[in-house]
This record gives sequence, structure tokens and C-alpha cells, in this order.
Amino acid sequence: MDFQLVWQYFPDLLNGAWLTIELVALSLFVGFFLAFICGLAALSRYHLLRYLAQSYMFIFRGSPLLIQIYLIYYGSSQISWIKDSFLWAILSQAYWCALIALTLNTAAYTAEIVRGAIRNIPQGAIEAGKSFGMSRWLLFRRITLPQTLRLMIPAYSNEVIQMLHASALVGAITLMDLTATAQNLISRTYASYSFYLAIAVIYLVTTYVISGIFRLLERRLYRHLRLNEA
Amino acid sequence: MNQEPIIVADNIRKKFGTNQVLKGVSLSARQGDVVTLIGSSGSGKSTFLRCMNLLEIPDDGKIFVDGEWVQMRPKPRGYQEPADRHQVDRIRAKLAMVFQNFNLWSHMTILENVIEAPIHVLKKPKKLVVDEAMALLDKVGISGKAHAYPSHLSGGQQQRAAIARALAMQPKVMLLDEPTSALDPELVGEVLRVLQQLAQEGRTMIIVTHEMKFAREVASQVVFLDQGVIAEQGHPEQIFLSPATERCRQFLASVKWS
Ligand SMILES: Nc1ncnc2c1ncn2[C@@H]1O[C@H](COP(=O)(O)OP(=O)(O)OP(=O)(O)O)[C@@H](O)[C@H]1O
Ligand SMILES: [Mg+2]
Repeated sequence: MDFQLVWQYFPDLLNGAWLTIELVALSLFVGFFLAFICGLAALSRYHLLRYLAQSYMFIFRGSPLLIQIYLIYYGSSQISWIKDSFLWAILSQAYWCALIALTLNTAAYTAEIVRGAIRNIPQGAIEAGKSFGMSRWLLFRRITLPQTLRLMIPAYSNEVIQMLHASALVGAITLMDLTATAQNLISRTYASYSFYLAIAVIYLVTTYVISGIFRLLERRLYRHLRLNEA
Repeated sequence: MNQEPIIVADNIRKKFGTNQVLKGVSLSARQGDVVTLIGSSGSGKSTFLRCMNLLEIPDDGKIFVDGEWVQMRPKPRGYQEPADRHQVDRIRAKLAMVFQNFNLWSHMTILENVIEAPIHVLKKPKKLVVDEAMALLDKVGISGKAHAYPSHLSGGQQQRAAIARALAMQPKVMLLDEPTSALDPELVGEVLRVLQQLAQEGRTMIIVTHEMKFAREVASQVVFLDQGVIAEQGHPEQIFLSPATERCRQFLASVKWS
């Protein structure tokens, strides 16, 4: 491992890491809201909504993220009405295409987590709310939502970590994320071992921080399960 | 005492699939009445109780609570459904329910459980509600657990918390579905004592129970439900000492009188 070399190019790696974190954070943020809408729609009593939500989840969970990125980036350039519309301003840019692909992808996976969590809420908690005259919205806000978030945490923390690692695919459409930056440096210096190891460590540290954040969150939200504070 | 009934269920019918669970059940209670519903498993007691606060929608029949009939409208395919969701919510808020499995909200402390609906449904000021809640928790004997979470309490304590939560709504009628059935035998007494006290204070209650001794002592009216119809109904002494129907006699002979 050539520390000196890695240190010399460390600012480039940090730039790459920053793009990775930016893409992952933005797509997770937007994807989380989409996931709730989609997860709720998948449980709706209206056939059409359910069908739409389930198809969306099936498509984005059923195909590789890399293909989704390619389709949005290269595919859109071949559809003439997109090229002629205002959408082209967005879809001609690799950054936006990557962001859209990552967002739609995480939204589909997270929607499945949301759906599973809502299904696992004890029915009695919902009935108790109804029996005290809570309106649908109040019931959602005060009972369903907080219980869903608690049930989601373990699966969702996995999803966040997976997204961090999956984001390495955006290099395929010219974006200089952490992985692409390393590959670029390797093609110039041939120090593949050093740079791959260096970014592995950066991914690891980031993953560690994410896990830590979720552990803190669990500590707060799972107070009701801890027995020693009774 | 007020002569107009506070709650009426009129000719309630309910079917699940092809299973006709309630075949026209009627009941009315005045303020201060304690009605105990008894009957063998599957006779439709829970379903009937749940029809009263519209957790189940009766296929046919009417519900009256505190001066108003629940508005129903025919469903396109099927029987009937409530016409006004707000009316349903309003009526439910007057009929606090206590469940067999307590159904406390696990993510809230006991105190938060008790103050939740008075604040958000009745829109009462928090300060007042907290004071009332603490007094109620004291009354059911668990004020020391106000800041604990439900999973930290014994079953008997959880059920007493659920009773306090129901009382905090200052309900016109309390509906209780087998409040002691999920409890270990040694915890049943503490919950029954609380209910007995509520009965003495003149609270209107409709209680489904398998505790026959309690059903007899606490009731002003006993209703024996059998296969979806009321087979017998009347004063506890009459039902328990000289049941008129063979079915009721058999049922009373079959249950244990702990
Ligand atoms: N949601 C439902 N869907 C289908 N069938 C139901 C439903 N709820 C109740 N039933 C059926 O209706 C019948 C009456 O049930 P109910 O719970 O009212 O009886 P119960 O008198 O309360 O009995 P128990 O003493 O066991 O609580 C049973 O045969 C039950 O299987
Ligand atoms: Mg029952």
C-alpha cells in the first residue's frame, strides 16, 4: 500500500466521496416520501392504486439498478418527444439521471419495507384508536406512522447501506463518484491495490457512521422495549 | 334517574361470509345500568359489542347513542354503511372500549396512552387532561407506572391502564369485551375489583364476561346470547337461579364458578 500516493490524491477521493454521499442522501430523502405514498397505495382498497403501486415496485425491484441507470440516461436520448420537451434539460445530464434512477430504485425497495411494517402493526392498536373516535388522519399520524417507523428501522438501515454501495454504479454514466474517481486515478498511476483499498476503507467508515446513526435512533425509538427502565 | 335509554341496539344482524353470527339482537341500557353479556364461545358476544361502536358494521339494524341514531345508508352491493363518518367518530368517542388484549399503544407511556384521545379527539387542554389522567391512574392503582411503557407492566396493570384510558374519555357508556380473559388467574381479581367499584359509582357499562360470579354480582341486567340470538335476558337472580331455557341451564352448568 502506497500511503504517500493515496495521500497525494486524497482531495480527489474526498471529492468523489462527496458526490457519492450527495447522490445517496438526496435519493434516500426523496425516495423515503415516495416510498410512503407507494407503500400506502399498495395497501389501498382501490384496485387501480394497488395495481399501479405493485407494478412500480415489481419493475424497480425486479431489474438491475445498472440497467435502470442506462435506460434513463441512454434510453431517454433516443425518444424524440423527450428530446423535444423541457425534460431534456434534465435527462441529458448524467447527474440528474443517476439521481432519478437511485431515487426510484430506493423508493421501490423502501415501499416494500413500509408495506411490511404497516401490515405488522398490531391490529388492536388501530382498533383502539378507532374505538376512541380518532379520525383516519389522526389515527395515521398518531398511531400508524410512529409504529410503522419503529418497525421499519432494521430493514431500512440495511437499505441505506445497500444504497451507499449500489451508488458505485453511477460511474457507468460518467459521474465521478468515489469508485469512479479511484478507477480514474488507477488508470493514471496503476496503483490499483492502494486506491481500491483506500476507497474500501472510506466506504467502510461511512457505513460505520450510518450504522451508528441508526443505533442511536433505535435507542431512542425502542425505549418502550427496554426492560431496565421500568 | 333518566328514563330515556342512553344506548340502544335494535334488531342487529351480522353475517361473516355465510356465517350468520347475529340474527336480530336488541338491547337497551339506561344511564347507570350494568349489562353483562354471557354465552358460549362463538355465540356472537364480541361481534355484538363491536357493532355498538361500529367497529363492525351491522348488516341490518340500528344503533342509538346518547340522543342520536347512527345514520345508515344502503351500500351499492351489500347491506348498509354509516352515512356520516364524523358522526361515527363522535359516537365512538362517547363509548370507550376496553379490549380483551388491552390494546394499549406500545410506543407511548401509560400516561401518554391515557391523555392521547382526550387531547386529540376531545380537544381538551393538556394540562387539565394530565391532572385528570394522574387521578385516574391513582384510582386504578398504577399512578407509579405513569411514565413506564406498556410492555413493562403486568397484564393486570395493563388492563387497569386501559380502563383508565377509557375513563379519561368520560364516556357515556363503557364497552368491555372479556376484560379479564387474557389475564393470569391471580391477576383477575385486581381488575374485577376496579370494575366493581365503577359499577358502584353508577357507570353505565356493557360487559362481555366469562366470570359468572362477577357477572351476577355486578349486573343490573344479564343477557344470555346463544347462536346469534338472545335466548334469555333479565335480572341476575332470575337468570342465575332459575333460568327459563334449557340452553341457559346447560350453559350455566358448563361454566366454572371460580
Ligand atoms: N372478522 C370476522 N370474520 C369472520 N368471522 C368472524 C369474524 N369475527 C367473528 N367471526 C365469527 O363469528 C362468530 C362469533 O364470533 P364472536 O367473536 O362474536 O363470538 P364470541 O361470543 O365473542 O366468542 P368468544 O367467547 O370465544 O369470544 C364466530 O364463529 C367467529 O368465528
Ligand atoms: Mg369474544
